[in-house]
Amino acid sequence: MKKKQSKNQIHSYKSLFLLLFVFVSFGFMTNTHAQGILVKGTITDNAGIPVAGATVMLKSDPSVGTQSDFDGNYSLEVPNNQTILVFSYLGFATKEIMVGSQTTINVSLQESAEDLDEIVIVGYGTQKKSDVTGAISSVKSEDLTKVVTTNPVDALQGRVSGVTVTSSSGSPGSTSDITIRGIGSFGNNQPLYIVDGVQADPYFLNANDIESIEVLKDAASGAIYGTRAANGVIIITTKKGKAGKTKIEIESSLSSNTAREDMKLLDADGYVSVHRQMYENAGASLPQYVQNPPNVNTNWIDETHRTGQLNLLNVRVSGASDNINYSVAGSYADEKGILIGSGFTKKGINANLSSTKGKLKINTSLNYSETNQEDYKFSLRETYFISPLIPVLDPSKPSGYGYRSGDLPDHRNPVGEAAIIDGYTKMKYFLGNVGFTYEIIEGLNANANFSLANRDNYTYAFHPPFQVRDIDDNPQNEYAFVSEYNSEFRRLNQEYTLNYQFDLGKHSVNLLAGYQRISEPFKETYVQAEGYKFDENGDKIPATILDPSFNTMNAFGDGTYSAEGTNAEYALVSQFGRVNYAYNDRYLFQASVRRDGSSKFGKNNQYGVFPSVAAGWKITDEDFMKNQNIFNFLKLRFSWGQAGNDSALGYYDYIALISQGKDRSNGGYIFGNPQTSYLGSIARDLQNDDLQWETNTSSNFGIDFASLGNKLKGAINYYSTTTQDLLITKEVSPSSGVNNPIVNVGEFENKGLELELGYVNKDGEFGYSAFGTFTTINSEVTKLSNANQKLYGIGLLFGSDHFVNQTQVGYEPGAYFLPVADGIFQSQAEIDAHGAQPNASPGDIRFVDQNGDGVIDSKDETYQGTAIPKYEYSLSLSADYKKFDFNIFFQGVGGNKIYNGNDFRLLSLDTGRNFRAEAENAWTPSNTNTNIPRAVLGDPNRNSRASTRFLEKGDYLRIKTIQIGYSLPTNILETLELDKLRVYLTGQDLFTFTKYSGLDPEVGGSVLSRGIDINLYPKYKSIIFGVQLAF
Amino acid sequence: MKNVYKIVLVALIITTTTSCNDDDFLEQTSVDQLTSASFWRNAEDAQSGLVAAYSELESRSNFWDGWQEGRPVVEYFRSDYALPGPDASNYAHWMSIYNFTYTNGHTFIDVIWTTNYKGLNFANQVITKVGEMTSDKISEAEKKQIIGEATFLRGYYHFKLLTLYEQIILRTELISNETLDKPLSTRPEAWEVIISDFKQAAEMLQTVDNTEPGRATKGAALAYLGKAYMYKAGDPSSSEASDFENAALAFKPIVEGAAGSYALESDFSSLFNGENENNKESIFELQFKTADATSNNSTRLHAFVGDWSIGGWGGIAATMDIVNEMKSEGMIASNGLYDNRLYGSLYFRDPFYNDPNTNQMQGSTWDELMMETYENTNDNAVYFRKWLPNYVWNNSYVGVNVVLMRYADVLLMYAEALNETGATPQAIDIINNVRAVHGHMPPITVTSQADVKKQIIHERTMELTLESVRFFDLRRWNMLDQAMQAAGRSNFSAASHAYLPIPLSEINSNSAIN
Repeated sequence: MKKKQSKNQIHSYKSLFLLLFVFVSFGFMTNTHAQGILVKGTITDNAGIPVAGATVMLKSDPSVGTQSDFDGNYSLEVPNNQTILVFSYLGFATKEIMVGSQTTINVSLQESAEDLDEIVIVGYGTQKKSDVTGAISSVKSEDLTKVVTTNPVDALQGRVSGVTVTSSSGSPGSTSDITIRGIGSFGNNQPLYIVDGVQADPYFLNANDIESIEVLKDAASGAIYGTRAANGVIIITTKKGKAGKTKIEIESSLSSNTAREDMKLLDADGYVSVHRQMYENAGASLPQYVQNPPNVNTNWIDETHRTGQLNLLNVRVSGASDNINYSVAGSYADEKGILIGSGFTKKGINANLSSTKGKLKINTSLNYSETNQEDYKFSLRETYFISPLIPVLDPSKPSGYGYRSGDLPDHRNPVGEAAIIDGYTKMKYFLGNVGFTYEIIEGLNANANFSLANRDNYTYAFHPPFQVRDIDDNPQNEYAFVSEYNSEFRRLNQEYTLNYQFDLGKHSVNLLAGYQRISEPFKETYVQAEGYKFDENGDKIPATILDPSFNTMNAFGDGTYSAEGTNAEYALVSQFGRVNYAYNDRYLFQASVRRDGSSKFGKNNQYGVFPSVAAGWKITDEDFMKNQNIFNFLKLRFSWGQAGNDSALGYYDYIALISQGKDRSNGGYIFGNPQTSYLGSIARDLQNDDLQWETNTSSNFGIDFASLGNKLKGAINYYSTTTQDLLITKEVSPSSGVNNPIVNVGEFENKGLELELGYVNKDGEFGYSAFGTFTTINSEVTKLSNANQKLYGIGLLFGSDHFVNQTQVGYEPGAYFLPVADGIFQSQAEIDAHGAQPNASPGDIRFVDQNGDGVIDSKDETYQGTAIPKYEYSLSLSADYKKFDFNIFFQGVGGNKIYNGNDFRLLSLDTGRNFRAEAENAWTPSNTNTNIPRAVLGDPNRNSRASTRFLEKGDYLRIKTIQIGYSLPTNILETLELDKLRVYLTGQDLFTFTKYSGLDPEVGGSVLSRGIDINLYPKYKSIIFGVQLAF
Repeated sequence: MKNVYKIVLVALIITTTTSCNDDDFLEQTSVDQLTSASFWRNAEDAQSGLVAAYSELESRSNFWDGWQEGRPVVEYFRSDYALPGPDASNYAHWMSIYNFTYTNGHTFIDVIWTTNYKGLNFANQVITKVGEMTSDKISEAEKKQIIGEATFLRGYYHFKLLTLYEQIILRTELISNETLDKPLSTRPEAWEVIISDFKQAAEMLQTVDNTEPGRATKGAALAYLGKAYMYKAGDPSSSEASDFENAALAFKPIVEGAAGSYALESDFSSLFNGENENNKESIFELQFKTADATSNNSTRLHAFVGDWSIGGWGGIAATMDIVNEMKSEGMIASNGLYDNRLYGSLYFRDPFYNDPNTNQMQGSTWDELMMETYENTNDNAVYFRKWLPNYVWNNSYVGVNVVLMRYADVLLMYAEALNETGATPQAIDIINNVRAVHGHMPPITVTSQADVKKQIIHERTMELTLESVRFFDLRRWNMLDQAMQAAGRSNFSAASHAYLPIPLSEINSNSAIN
């Protein structure tokens, strides 16, 4: 009880502070300016060309400043003649000039390697990029916004070496799979996201709100985040106001989206012909629909697919003056999916405010976002399976939608389902963060940070009674149905740090100590009403619903209601510290340690400790390097560290909880006369007090360099990572009778080489640049519970058969282990000679009897590669000439394989369903030159068993984006009183070069079941027109 | 400097209000679920645990792939008298059972295995945890009753598994991290455990007259004990000379009324249509109940069994051979018709089902229903009638119970055991009793032990069609190959198909099996 009370108090304090702070901040804004000296001038580069957008600010107070206009002109009021002005521009050396008696100061900036000295955000602080000792990559906003998406982290694809982004679904509002340096966990492989210093969900941000993203790839960089950092850390910094006048920026784009490729299925004639072969080859009598097909030819793909659309709009107001810095943005996204009935909207506000009052600095950021996701409400599987002989609409059926008549195979009409069922998921996300920094003495800062993240989820579903197949196997369809799900997730975070930075001669020291508490309460409720009641005989009869379109809980009056709901909470306590030491700005050293306690573990293993060390050497600063001119900059780095992971665990996974139920499905049973349903209570899980962290230990060796007069810059990293005590939901032996438990099992190793290389040059008005990444990934399972253990992925056939992936020691997680399909038997003689396939006939698939034991079984499964690419690469080429700019971005992977699960269904010509159009090329005695076996009902040879028949190479090269932009020239902008007006045209995912025969080679999956392409929401390509406006 | 004090003050307030102990902060427990350690507090908890132990019976918890399609396809389709219904050809996995081309990855083979083992896990929890309860928590009498029922259930789940699969894993204790993977047992080992559990349950349980309908009784334990001996007798891996004698000893108290009052019901078809549930002939009965707002324990088995023509889904049909077998004694029943049990078991084209005055077929006549659905009178079609309510149309989910063990089965098994052990005259009396009450048939005329055995084989078809016994009876009589051949099931060989294989999922995940 006491505990609860204190938590509520924390919460109310936090709310109070938030409110207070907002008022205080606006109070500051009304402060008036002090009078001073007006300084003017022009900023040019070393060629004398004006530099637009360069920053001019006071050294004494960086929040006072301005930016140069398109002609390089600036003007700024400074307090007195002792003021030092700082002139800076990305890619140029920063200059400092004392005002003195001057009122006109013209400055010529020198291009330099200074962006190596740009500031990089690291855990709990910032560092000069040249001082970083870990493996950290940065991506700037300009690159992120080139890819048009509603989920900003999708845009990381190909931008950072070592980061793999896989988007398996084209569903509006869907998320991608992001892994850093390979798969490190069986459970959640998602990195930790830190937005402006707090753990947050980037899904609710808008790409235009992001200033930069830093990816902390090695454990040493992430170790300061302890138990949540094993999968790497992605730090997102949102845009802040910049010194100068109030700036308004508007960006808008419109995309037209179409499927990258359409599934091509048999038409009516093809369907009848393949089904005829199927029945004849099995010696079965022909069904009516083959003998006498109805005159219908429906293309179910055309009926369920359409051209999609995405509108994006972002408006930002930002600026800084005196003690206040602000940036407020609103954004709106509206997407219409390429499958009928699917769509997504997202609306958000993002505000950053910071102010200083003496030695106190206060930062506030607020983000509020609402999404509405409407998924498609039919089954893609049924869409592929349903017969083209069934019409879309059929007035003779009660629902008006066609389904089988006579002896046609019975599948659900997707168009009918899409039209009848209503449903959506709405989320509301709020992230509020307020931080106070107080400078106790120079260099010593105390920091307190409080944040609240809140995510509400509301899911609604409704349908009136309907029938879209003949034998409806979903009894819920017979009666009207409505359901509502509500959940609330909160993360309350308090964090206190002390930071002391001082220099002693050539020694530079930075100390950090901190304490953090996170609690994550979660609540959910689910209610549903069904449109039936029971009559006096106990039979179901329709409930009284006054109007069939009424779709609320109340509308179901005397219907049947049910509800469920629960609360849970996760808590984390941490202490952490870090030392950074540099000698002579040349030898860099860092060590950190974090101790975390998590409520997800039993008493035996509640706390974990995660240390790290790192060192760097800036070689180019050494005397012996002064006389060489190969490298403008060269630094060696080494790091070692540990991070943990408990994300695979639910709230109470170590405890065997008692679950209760009164139904046949959840433990209920009936006794007595009259019969009475009794509540059953039993533990379905395994008790496991020894559950503990997954620990990720990684070493990183890296080189940063700049050459060719700083035009060429790059970084090379080699890493080796071991994850121990992997947490996995183990497929437990069914004979144990318990639900699959989460256990600590085994060890993974990931190794790889990462290369990032950039070249920037400017030749008069022609500027060009290239940026490329190359990553190799070598993943291996090095240990499991026992040496011969095999962990299987999902079975594609009812979950119990057609297993494709196995995880075994010595191979990649979720590698393919399959029997080898070796062409088609052309004659009985070939079958007899082979000897191991007694049920085969000419036209069936030959499988290799690997062990020669005369049967084809699981012993003939051999390693057949992996879905994890061996290497990934990207290349971004940009050029600008005068007011035109051009960018092309290639992204690709290689060395991986894809299991074409759609073909397993749609080219297994063995039962009553539709097939891929290629099925017309099935083997017949007169069509023997084919790789598609004969059609035969029942498939006696099991041609459709899991085998290499459906395994294909997954290499691809994609032109991810190709963009051309035009900015209005300065003179026109001036007449229009604008700072910027740019229009652009982008083609996204237009061209993919691959040999893969499925719809798209980008196929994700879970760790154990990777690379299976089956019934995925088709992905799209886009043509995008966009406008950027600033004034 | 004033601000500084404010800040310090604020910091102080915050730190003091939040400085509760870290360990308390980390202590999180479920707000609405007890744990295995905190449950089992009293008799109500023990009863509730027992309910869960019943809930996995006949794979009913996995409604679709276990109960609704899995069990009927696995147990009915493999009978030589079964045919796939008109809808079955749309389901390749049903047909692979019918054609004996299934693999060990078959979903039904998987689900039936898994659900029975869930039942074993629950029964073991009850036996162990209730066994540990002290007398201040539960009375000795109630404890004995609950553990007795759970012991019966453990015997039942093992028995179910052993009759279906070639080998099983014995689960007789509470599961722990160390026992997740366990090797297969031999069949003789498994029989020993099953027999021991049924014996123990028979000693602990009350008779049917003192037990709530639906629960395991002394009679049920003895009936399954006898049945286990009968099956063991027909299992070459485990059979012993004493099996039939032991079976007879188990059945004897039931037949002599020492294990509760059981009797044959005179209305044969009322045993199967949900109109006369938990009757005096019922020994162990799977309970269903029409769903209501608070629970759903209903079934749709009738939809699977019922043909399209009567509003079912056409999952299964029967061969003409079974009609011929059931007609084989001719129209010698006391009412001048065939054996009454023929009409209680099957629908087929017959004057009995074509009389518009009686409308014996679901309130209509055969010809009318067939013309409507198939546009001909479907002369050679035969459909099963058991487990159908009197009117299938418009009933989506029903509460029709399914009898798992009834007195007539015990009588016929008892007769068989007696006949095998030389007491043929006694066996003949029992057979005649069943024939008279259920079949309206005259006494049999054969007397030799061999002829009486043949008669028992015939009587079991008459009596127990579609009650999940035919395939297992054929197996223990060593008649599988012969019967399947006769039925044209050419893929079948007893060597490969008498038992289901160990599911792939078990082999894949259990490191103690290779």
